[in-house]
Amino acid sequence: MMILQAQDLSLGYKHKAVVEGFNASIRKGSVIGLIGPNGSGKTTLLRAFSGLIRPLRGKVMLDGQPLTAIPARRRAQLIGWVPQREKIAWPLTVREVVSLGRAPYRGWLLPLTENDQEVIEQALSFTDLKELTDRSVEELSGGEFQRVLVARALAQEPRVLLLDEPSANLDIHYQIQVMDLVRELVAQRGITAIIAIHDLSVAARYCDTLILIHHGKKICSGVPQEVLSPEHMRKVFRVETRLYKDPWEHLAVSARNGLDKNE
Amino acid sequence: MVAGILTIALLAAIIVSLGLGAVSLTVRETVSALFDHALKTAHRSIIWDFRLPRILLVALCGAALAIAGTGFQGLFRNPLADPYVVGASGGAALGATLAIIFRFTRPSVPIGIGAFIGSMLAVLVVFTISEFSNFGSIAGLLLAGSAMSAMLTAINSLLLLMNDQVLHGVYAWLLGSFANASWGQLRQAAFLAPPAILMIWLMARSMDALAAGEETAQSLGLNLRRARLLIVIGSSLATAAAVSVSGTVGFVGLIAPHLARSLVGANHKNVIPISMLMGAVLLLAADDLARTIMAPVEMPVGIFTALLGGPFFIYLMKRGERGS
Repeated sequence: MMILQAQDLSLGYKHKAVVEGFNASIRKGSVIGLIGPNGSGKTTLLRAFSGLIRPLRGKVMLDGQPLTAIPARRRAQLIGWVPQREKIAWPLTVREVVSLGRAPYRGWLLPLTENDQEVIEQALSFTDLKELTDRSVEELSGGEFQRVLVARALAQEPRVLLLDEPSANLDIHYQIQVMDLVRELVAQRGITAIIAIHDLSVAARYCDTLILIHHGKKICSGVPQEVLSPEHMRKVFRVETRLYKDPWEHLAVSARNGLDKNE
Repeated sequence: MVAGILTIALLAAIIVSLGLGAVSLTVRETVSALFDHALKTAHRSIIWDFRLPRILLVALCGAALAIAGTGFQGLFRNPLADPYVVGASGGAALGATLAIIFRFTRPSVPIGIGAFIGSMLAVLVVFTISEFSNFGSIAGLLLAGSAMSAMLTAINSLLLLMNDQVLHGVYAWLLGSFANASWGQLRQAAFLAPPAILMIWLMARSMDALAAGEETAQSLGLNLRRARLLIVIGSSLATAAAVSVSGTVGFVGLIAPHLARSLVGANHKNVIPISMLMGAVLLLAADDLARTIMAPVEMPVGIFTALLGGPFFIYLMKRGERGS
């Protein structure tokens, strides 16, 4: 069952294409990783999937409906977006920021309903933020703040969760925490997560499917073992790689520049 | 709780301010002059004909400037924004001046409407420039705003010098003063301020979402264009309400929202009413100083808000420096 489809998608800013002729079908209930070098178009693709930018050509289909035909509020009920970084202009509390996730469900002036409150509480406890609810977001560490952004997206009760480098600015502990959280969400709620990731080992370990992008074009997609093959990595990243199971049986990638002389 | 205390503070400030002046009245005298209809003294006339319209006008303008400041800070996501900084005051002043100069031509434009149109155009230009500037959002806004304000002031001065029959009256007004307050002026401001307050209040939650940035706000389903436009209209209306009767009074719109946030948090649903009360009390205090400090000579109230606001502005800049 396909939840999201990209059909002949070309994206860009002011008619300079960043992504060209991109096709993909994304299965419901899976974790998809977008990988590729910096500037290859990962973030641009995510923004198109979220409806924040309109395609130059082609379209994004969400559950069989073109994304551009879905009203903004409805879209915000279906798609949650976790940006790579964000600066909240005012010292809102954790709970206030997470409550923003209910915005697409609320009338102009109506207070939060009981259901809204419940969803917010769930999002807060799922992301382990219960003890920080009344703290100002300005006082949080990077990892805590990243969890707030995930909680806000959860409060939207989305069917698709888009995460842009969710662990890029985090210490290793929180990197693992955020990625575990995403896997747990997908397993428990049947939502679909699409994640832009630059760390190949994180991608190998956490994703069901990877999509490799280079210069705005899809090179290949499939299970991590296939996509992370040495040939692909050499072509796209210009590195020599080995794919192996680490001592905990997680798939991992090791890389070095240039060819090994003995091989 | 905070709202209750501030409301009492505002009422107290109104009563005290009513007593201040050439003939100073005790609180008891003020209250009896206000409410005792049988009383036939000079006090009643002083209060009802001169002081009451002025005091109410000052309070209303303080609240309007605060709401404009809250709106502009929310719109620009910028703690240094206020009607003065973003060019709205300058635009409103120019619009009002034009309305005064051309008041005998037909069709003529009411001063308040002229101020509103001027304010809105100035903000839209500053907004557009700062969006495309390469200086980052905060510096870009300050640069665009100050360039715009300087230009508008220059045009305004030029217009006044070319129309010297209106020069005197307009010039005193431009400096920011409530010396000519009347029931008529109060009616004018009261005509513009309520829709402004209503609009900004309706946008409270949108401004909360905007705090997270424009992309995030959109990803949460906000209609960005509509929200921005409504905030610009509301803030410009509020600016026009104040400027069209009192000239350009700076810094109230800057300070009031910050004080409100430090008291009740950053949620706009709370910030809006509290900053209005704050703005009213602040401007009343400044106007009391302006009236009494050199009595019987009256100072422009803008002097006192600037004396208070300048250091506050610098403090905010220092704090922002540390934060970033």
